[in-house]
Amino acid sequence: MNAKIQNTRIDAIYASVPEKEVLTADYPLFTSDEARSFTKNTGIHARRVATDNVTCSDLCEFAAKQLLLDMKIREEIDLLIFVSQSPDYFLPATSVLLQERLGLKTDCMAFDVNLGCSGYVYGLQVVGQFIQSGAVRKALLLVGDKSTISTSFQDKSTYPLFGDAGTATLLSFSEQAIPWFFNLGSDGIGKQAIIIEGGHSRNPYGTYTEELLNFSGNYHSKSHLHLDGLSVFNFALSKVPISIEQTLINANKSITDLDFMVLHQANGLITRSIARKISFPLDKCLTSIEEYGNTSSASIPLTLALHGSKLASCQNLSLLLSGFGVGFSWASVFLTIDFPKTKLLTYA
Amino acid sequence: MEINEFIAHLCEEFEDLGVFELSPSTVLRNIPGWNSMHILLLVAMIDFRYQVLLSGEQLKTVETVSDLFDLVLQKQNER
Repeated sequence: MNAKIQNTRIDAIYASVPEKEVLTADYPLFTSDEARSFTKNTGIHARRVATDNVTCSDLCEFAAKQLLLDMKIREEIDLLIFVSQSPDYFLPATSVLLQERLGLKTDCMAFDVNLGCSGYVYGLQVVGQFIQSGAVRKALLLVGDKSTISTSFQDKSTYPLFGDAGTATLLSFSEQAIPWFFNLGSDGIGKQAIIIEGGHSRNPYGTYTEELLNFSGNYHSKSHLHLDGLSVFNFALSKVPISIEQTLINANKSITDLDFMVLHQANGLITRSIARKISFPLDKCLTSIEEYGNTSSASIPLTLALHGSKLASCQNLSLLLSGFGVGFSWASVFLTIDFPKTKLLTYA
Repeated sequence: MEINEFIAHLCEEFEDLGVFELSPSTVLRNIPGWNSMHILLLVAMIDFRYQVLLSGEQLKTVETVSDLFDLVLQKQNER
């Protein structure tokens, strides 16, 4: 579907990553040649990994607390949305826990959105709907994942790929804001391509063993993340260029109007392949994958925060953001914005 | 489409393997250092240069460079 959001402004984007850095070269299941090939093709040199007692909500809370402090708007938040596939509990919703931990008023709507790599752009659309309706003046969009909790050490297709991050984006009502244009989609046919099968209602804990199963030489259990790289790759190459094209048509823009593009940081090869397919210069694709890996739903806001100092003074910047992955689910948005305040924080 | 041109494009993608010469009879999985990442590289190259997006199911039938070339030709002709 296509959508247009009006009167919505991004005021700030803060991101938080764990202190612990893990290098691709140190993954013991890779030979040195494999590590070199992996880094060359995925772009991933290092990633940040949260310790056992740190959750995605902790990373988001850390970013949000600093943002609320800097912007001095704690009492004004009407809506909090937490987008993640690594909540604290089955229930209650993590967003409600964050309302209390952040000291937000109880007259604040809070709910979770269960999406992965497309989640940030979906989050912008959902928050934007509330703001343009006039029901909400200021909203916090907390987006992130602790993907490393679900990857198997013995699975080369997932373990060295993912990093952890949490982000906080402040959005507010503005009559001067230039409209945003979205294209969003879903196709459940891709459900087996990225899946954790065990642990919820379909396969509850206790109904399966934690035995490591062999997937072409990669080993993981039903509680681990399963990733079919080729299916995801084909999905990305077939759907994302069309979604970007449709978004630009909706906005009455062309690819040459874009100052920068931020694609979900799935891996460097996907970014390069999509850019090549749509004839977009690679040096205008902002990235974070090199030092942070695939940070799932957090990858787009983390990338914006990482490049914040370079873009800080830019006004009327034309940006295209595109998230895609687990589901399958995808979403793209064309934004014309004055670049918001950003910070990239280290959670120690 | 010529197979020599196709092979040249494959060699460009497999630069990190130190592969500079492939023949139609080369078995892809026997190329030293071959791994799943190289399948993605060849799928991306074929999609970009020949506008054919190959699935895992279709690639299961491919053993050699020649098999791959024939598959791409077949998919182009089916359009």
